[in-house]
Amino acid sequence: MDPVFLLIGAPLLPMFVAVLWPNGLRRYAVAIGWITVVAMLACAVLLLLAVAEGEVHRFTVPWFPAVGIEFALRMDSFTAWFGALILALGGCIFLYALSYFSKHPRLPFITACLAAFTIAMLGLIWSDNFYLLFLFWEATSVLSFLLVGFHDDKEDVREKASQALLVTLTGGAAMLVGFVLLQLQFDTSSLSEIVAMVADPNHAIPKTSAMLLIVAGALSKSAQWPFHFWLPNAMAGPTPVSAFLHSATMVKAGVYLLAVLSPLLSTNAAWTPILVTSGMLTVVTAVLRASREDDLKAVLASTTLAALGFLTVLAGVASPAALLGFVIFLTAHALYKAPLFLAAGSLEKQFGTRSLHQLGGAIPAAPWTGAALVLAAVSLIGVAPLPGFLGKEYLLKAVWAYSPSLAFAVAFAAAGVMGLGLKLTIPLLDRRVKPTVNAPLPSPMMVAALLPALGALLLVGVLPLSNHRFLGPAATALGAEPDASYKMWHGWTPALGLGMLALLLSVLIWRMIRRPDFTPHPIVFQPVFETAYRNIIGALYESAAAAGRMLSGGKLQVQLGIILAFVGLLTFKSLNGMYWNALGIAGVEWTSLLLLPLLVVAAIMVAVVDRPLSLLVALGFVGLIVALVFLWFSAPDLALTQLLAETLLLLLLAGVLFKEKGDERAKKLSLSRAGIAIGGGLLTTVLILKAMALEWNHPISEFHLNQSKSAAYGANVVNVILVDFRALDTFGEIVVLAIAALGATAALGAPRKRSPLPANSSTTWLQTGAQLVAAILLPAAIWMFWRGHNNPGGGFIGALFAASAISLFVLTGNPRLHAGWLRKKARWLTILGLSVAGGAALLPFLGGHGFFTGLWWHLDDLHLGTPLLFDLGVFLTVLGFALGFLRYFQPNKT
Amino acid sequence: MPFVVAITIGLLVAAGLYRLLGRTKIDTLIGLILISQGANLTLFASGGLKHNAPALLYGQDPATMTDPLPQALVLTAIVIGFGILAFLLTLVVRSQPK
Amino acid sequence: MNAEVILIIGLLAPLIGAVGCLFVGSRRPLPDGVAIAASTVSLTMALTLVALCANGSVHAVHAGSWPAPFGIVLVSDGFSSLMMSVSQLVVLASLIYANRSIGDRLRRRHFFPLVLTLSFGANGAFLTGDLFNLYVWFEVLLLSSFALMAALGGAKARLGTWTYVVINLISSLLFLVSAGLVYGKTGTLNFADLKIIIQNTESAFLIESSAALLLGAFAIKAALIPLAFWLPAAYPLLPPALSSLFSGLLTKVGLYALYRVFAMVFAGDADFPHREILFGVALVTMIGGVLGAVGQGDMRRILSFHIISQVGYMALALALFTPLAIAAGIFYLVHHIVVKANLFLVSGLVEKHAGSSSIQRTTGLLHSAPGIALLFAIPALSLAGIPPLSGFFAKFTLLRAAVEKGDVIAITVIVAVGLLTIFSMLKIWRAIFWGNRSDKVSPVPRSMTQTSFALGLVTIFIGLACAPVFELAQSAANGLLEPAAYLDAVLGSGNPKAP
Repeated sequence: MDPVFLLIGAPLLPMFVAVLWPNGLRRYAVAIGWITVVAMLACAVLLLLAVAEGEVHRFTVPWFPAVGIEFALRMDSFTAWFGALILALGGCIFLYALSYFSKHPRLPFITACLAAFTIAMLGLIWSDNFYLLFLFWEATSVLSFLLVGFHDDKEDVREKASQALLVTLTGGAAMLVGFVLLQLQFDTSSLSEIVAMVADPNHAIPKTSAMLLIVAGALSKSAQWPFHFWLPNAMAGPTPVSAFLHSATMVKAGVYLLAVLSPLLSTNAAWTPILVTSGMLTVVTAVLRASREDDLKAVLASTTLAALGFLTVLAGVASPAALLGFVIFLTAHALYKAPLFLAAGSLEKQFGTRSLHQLGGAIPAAPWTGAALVLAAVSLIGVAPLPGFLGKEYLLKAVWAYSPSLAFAVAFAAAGVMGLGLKLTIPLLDRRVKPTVNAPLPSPMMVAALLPALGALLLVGVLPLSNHRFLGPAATALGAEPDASYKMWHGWTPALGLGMLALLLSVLIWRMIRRPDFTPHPIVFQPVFETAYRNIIGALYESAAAAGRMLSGGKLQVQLGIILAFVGLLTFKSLNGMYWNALGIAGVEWTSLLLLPLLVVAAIMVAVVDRPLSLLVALGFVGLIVALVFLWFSAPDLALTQLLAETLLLLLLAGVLFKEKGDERAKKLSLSRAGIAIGGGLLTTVLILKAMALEWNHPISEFHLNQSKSAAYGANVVNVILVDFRALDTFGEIVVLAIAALGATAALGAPRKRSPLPANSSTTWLQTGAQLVAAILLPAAIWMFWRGHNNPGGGFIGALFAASAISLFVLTGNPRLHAGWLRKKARWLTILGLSVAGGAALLPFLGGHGFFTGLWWHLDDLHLGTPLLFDLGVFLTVLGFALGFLRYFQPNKT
Repeated sequence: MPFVVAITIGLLVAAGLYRLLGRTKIDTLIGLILISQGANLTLFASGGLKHNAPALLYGQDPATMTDPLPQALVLTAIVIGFGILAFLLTLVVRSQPK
Repeated sequence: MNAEVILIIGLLAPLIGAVGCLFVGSRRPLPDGVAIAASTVSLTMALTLVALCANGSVHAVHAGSWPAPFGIVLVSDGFSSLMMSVSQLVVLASLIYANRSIGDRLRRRHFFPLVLTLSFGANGAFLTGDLFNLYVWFEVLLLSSFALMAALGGAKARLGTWTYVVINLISSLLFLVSAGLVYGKTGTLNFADLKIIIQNTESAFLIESSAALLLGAFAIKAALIPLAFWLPAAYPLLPPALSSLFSGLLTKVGLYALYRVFAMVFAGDADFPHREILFGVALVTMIGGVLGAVGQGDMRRILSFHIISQVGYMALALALFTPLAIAAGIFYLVHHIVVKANLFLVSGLVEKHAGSSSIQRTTGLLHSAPGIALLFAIPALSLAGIPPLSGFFAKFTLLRAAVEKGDVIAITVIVAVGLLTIFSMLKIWRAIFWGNRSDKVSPVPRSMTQTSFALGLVTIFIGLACAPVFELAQSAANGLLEPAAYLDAVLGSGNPKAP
């Protein structure tokens, strides 16, 4: 690992520790903050050394190679210079923030966020991988959200922070897609590699879609037209945040990316017009909107927008000269904008207002802060020899080379920005007014504001040195000519002329906009895009409410209808191309159709009758038909099971039905209801006919028929399948029953422990008779269970017999069989049954055979094996289940 | 005869769907009972239907016998359905006035 | 231990635990201990299976030693072992969380065994290699969830429970019918055998209609719009431990089944039946779900709607049906189960702390409980797809698959729904975590926050170790699309029924 990266990140870590550490370290937050300030400034110096050294530092860890995501850092002279700027300004702002928030309980929080933000910003500019860059990009967005929303008790602040987040994240998402497209086109996700492709004369032209998406992301981040509206709103954040994020760092990320990619992307012809248009529109709207603004911070925000606009124009022009201009303009802007913001914050703290009007005379009243402000403003206005002058000069020079007419436009726009610079300084210089002092200003805040301004002076003071060591290499690394450097004096060039013109114009403009009756055309103040944003959010909420209503809150019947209709139509659609004669209608024995009227009547009965008794009869009748179908078509086990299960279910249902209050409202036949019903019925019929007609393969059950007797020792193949071939199904089935029993207790609560069953009124002979039947049923149950392997019967059927027997005992009021007894027995039977069945499955397993493998002992004709044990488990579980349910449906004391 | 079974199933499903889309919980419950009977029969019938050929191996030729696998599946399905419907009944009971 | 033993122990541990819980009664700490132990065992076994299957190998257990396709086969491949691990992780988390969050004795008595049977059902569903057997496991899973809702949902949740139960039963019946039809037409139920038969049959006529019914059945369980009504009706009213568990398991088992059956069993070379329909449904689900979420006024309702929207993403991955998309979908499943479960756990923390998770009533948690804010931020940012958390890589790989396919609609919807997801998370943050701190707050038991923290760490881990996790997903996807190893393991290399 290249140590330079570690060196930079490490000093910021203590800040996190301070916050995340439970309680202990928080009280040292201020001290840690001071350390951080020193560390940041020291790191900035280190970085300057790195710039001067001119080497490219790299650090790469593979992360997700399959899709080209790498933790790849790369630092060349330009990004080292940019990093040094960030850290130097960051150090000043940290210093400022420590005083600004010194009394605030959330000092650790905000300093930690600022530290995290610094790391994210450095990561962003040092990323050499699209996706790593995206990571830091998003991180800066999220952290900026937290920082802007620092005063989160105000709804207004919350809204503005959210707006900034949404706009930048939306842009980020677009940019991500652009990255993917670019990666797929050029087969690399490394920024430096992809930019280096320009060297190849035959390189492909980037796709317009990719270019547009990336531009959209960058413009949204740098608040360029048409995304420019969020930045002034983001001023809702505390001043140090505005100074750091919205002047020197985060908003630069967009133009940074544009500049870095410009050599490649500008080969697409749409690049320059788009960026130049967006940049110029941003400058013009920003200037016009700021012209009537009285809030110092808002004016500063507008000048930031304008500066970013110029940077966008430079990235759009994308010539080496433009990139040279980009570096100096970026540097100059960072060095004047931070002190301006900090000074504005200081003035607000000192005089309790941000209104330019009320701050009249503030500069003489607060000389140190005032000095910083004036120095920075002069640089903003672009007066030689401050860096702002150089920035303007090289901007005009590069644009002039591209298109003189555009250069005129830029000069005019620049004059507007300079006019704003005059607007925010001259009233403050007024010695005639004395603003009232609100609170004294701590000296670190003055120093912090003054430092960058002095830094700017230093930079130009030693211009030959900084050219040679810092600015020149940085510009070259970005894509300017080799051995690039800056000169204060070029001779009489068009750029100089335009610059002078702009300066003159700016005075006129300032004189114009300070007139109280100055009113730009109202269209300027139409927040078109912000309104659009609000409308989108509004429409979003409306459709969201509609979607919510559609997805929940409707009637169950309607929901079921939609579901059934959907599935039905889908199935119907897939019946396409089937031939009707495949359905086997030809072979119908027409006599059997005589049954149809009976069936139809039964169906209608069961569909519409409502009186409990008739309903039970109809249901019973239908159940009987089903059982008969089973019986007729060679399924005696099924017929028995169906009858027993149906009977028990109807018994349970009877208890419920008779309690239900009759529904008085007249029932109308609903057409859609009938339609779905008939459609579903028809569809099912066709599906079955189709399945019956198609037999493409020999079914696997041939194996079962052949192996049942010889390998599984059972003549009743159905039972053998259940307890041996597919015992796992049956195992799941008894688990379902056990859960149902448990669920019933859960739903209804455990019945009172010792509630006696109702005193029985039935006559003795009935009681005796019932008990006699029960006494016969019990052995029959065991017999049914035992014969199951070779004859119709088995665990389930046997258990239901047994359950009926016991229920007869219960119903006739055997005093020992009270509810508590049933509950306990049912519970233990279920546990026992599951254990026995599970044991039968695991026993062979423990013996080294396969899971569920049948182990058999043969005594002549008697075959005993684990499948029978398994069936016993089924018997016990089902019995437990049936008894468990019975107690809920015992007759009431009526 | 299989044709009639197919129609029977269709009728069961139709009746069941009609009930299912009714207003009360009891309606829904009965609908589910009917549809699950229809589903069981579908499972049963889709393997092919044979009269008087139960899969009991007492010496007959297995090739003439009915397919036992769907029967086993239906048995499982009936029992599972029984368990679930019984549980559903408790939900209805719970919502009934005491 | 060989793979067979591991598989069986992993499958059965929750059931044994459930019986054990019933056995020991409801006195603390017995059932908790038994349940947590059982779940831990199952999780360990599942993770071992992941390790065993990581190289693409497949391990099959032939129940009853009957050769496939005649008996039932349990199969552990990359996909099933991965799903089993993640779902067990969530089960374990919710068991530990519930230990303190569910105080009522009667409720505890049902909670622990039923959660275990639920996870037993899920294990079975992931492992089985048989269509009808899958139906049985679905029923185990479903009935457990019904019972849990009935036990813990309380009076307010009754209507939702009923809706949930009825709609899911319809799904089961559809499944049952189509399983019958598939058997009637192909004469088999075994996945591997079915795959071979379908591959060797020219006509799509064979399973097209059964596939439609199955799609309906699974789509209901996966909560795809327009079949998702049960989810918003039921989830928001459950206790957090339960909605967390359900969100992690239920819809995901439905998705698992969709992947297994449609991407493997029914799939042809470049297509499977009704792929276009699924594509459309997935897009509608993504959009509808997230819009639904935006419109809600309660944290848990927002989260519930998000399940739907996210399920749409995973269905979209299936419908794109390229190797990368399927791998992305599987990765998405793994990531999403952890994240969504965690978000519900956090909603429980919020409720415990502030008494409500309503957006109107609860404010200022960032100030009164910054820890909870952090615990929320991790899964929320992950769900929103912010790097370097797991969700970013899930969305990114899916996005990349869509871009490679050149599907502009899919790309647009993926991005737009991702933004709307952020929007709704923002809504929660603004209302609940920002704002004036409230005075009426109560402390949250440590075991609850720790559980959430642990899941948060998993999310971070999946993000940082996305490459190896994605390799697992890729290997799982490959196992679905090129199931030679699966067929070999199930049918034996001598394939008795292979042509």
